[in-house]
Amino acid sequence: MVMLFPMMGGEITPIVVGFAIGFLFGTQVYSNVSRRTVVMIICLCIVGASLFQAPVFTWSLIGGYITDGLSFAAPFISATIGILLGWAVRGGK
Amino acid sequence: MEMKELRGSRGVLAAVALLIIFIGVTVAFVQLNGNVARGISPEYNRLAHLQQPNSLSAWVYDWRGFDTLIETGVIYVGAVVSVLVIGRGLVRMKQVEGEEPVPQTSLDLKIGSVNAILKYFIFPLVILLAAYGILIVTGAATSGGGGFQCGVVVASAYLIGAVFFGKKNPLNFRRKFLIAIGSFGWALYALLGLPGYLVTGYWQYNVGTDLWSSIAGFPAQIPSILHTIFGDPYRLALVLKGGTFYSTAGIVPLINIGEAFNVIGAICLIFLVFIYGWSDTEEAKA
Repeated sequence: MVMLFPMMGGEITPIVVGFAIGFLFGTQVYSNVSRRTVVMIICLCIVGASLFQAPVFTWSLIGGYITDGLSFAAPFISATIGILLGWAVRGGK
Repeated sequence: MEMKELRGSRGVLAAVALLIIFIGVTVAFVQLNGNVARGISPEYNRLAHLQQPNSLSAWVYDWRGFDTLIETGVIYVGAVVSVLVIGRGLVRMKQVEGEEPVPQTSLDLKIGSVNAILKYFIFPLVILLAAYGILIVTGAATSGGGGFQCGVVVASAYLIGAVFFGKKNPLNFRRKFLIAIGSFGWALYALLGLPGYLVTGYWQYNVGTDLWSSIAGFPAQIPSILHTIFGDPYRLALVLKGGTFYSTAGIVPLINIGEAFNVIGAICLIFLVFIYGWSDTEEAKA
């Protein structure tokens, strides 16, 4: 069963920190790739996040937990999105 | 960096930070005499010996600060030696000042010569490796480490990009950026010891987790505001058969972030020096 609670700081903070560090690194990315490649990165990221899974003490949907045996490493997704956004905002081609 | 860059407010800040760290660490070492806490390893081994008899984790939990300090020291010694040996620009000896730097061959690859699969997959690999490194450091709240491993993984992403794309590395960390994040990491790591030191006298006492203040003879009680600032952001609910328990890693994840920035800065700086040397003109051409 999908739960939104208990949702603790320890489930949200890594996502926020992952996004912030990803954005910082994204500002240093210089590349000229197609939109298809970006979509591929996002798809691979979601596959990777399902393989890495959420930490065992994560219980909320925001933390990446869906049900036993199915969860996503949310910081991995947020870090990837942070890198891509940082690249789009401050990076270069 | 030239010494003249350390004049002004930047130099004053560096001097004050170094003074605080020096006084804190020195006094903490002096107070160690007869006051060494036994650490958490006995509890860890009593509770977890059947599930995970990991003495390395116990050692890391007890001596987290020293572990990180020594790791960081090793990496920075490597970075400084690389810059001194290969960069040649950091220490400008008078007798070689007039000489031209050793000519470097370009590392640019023609992308057309790279295997088509690699051509399409190296950029996603670099991005996903960097994200994986970040995942490792954000997972420090539920594991024994993370900072050093994060740094190594992100540095691997940088190196892979450099190997395949040369100077057109998609993860194009510049020298100033690496020095900045390395310095930030050092400062974060070192100054995180200050709250614990000011309250208890122990440098880098984990004021977020606060395992020891309830024990008789401990020098101080930790103010609740420090629990809130350093403990709550990483608090987790452990839903077990016996009930729901709450746990936090305190300042450990923050130490890991500092350590990660340290290691990324130092290792990527080593790679950068190996590839480009320590020359402003070479970097400007890139």
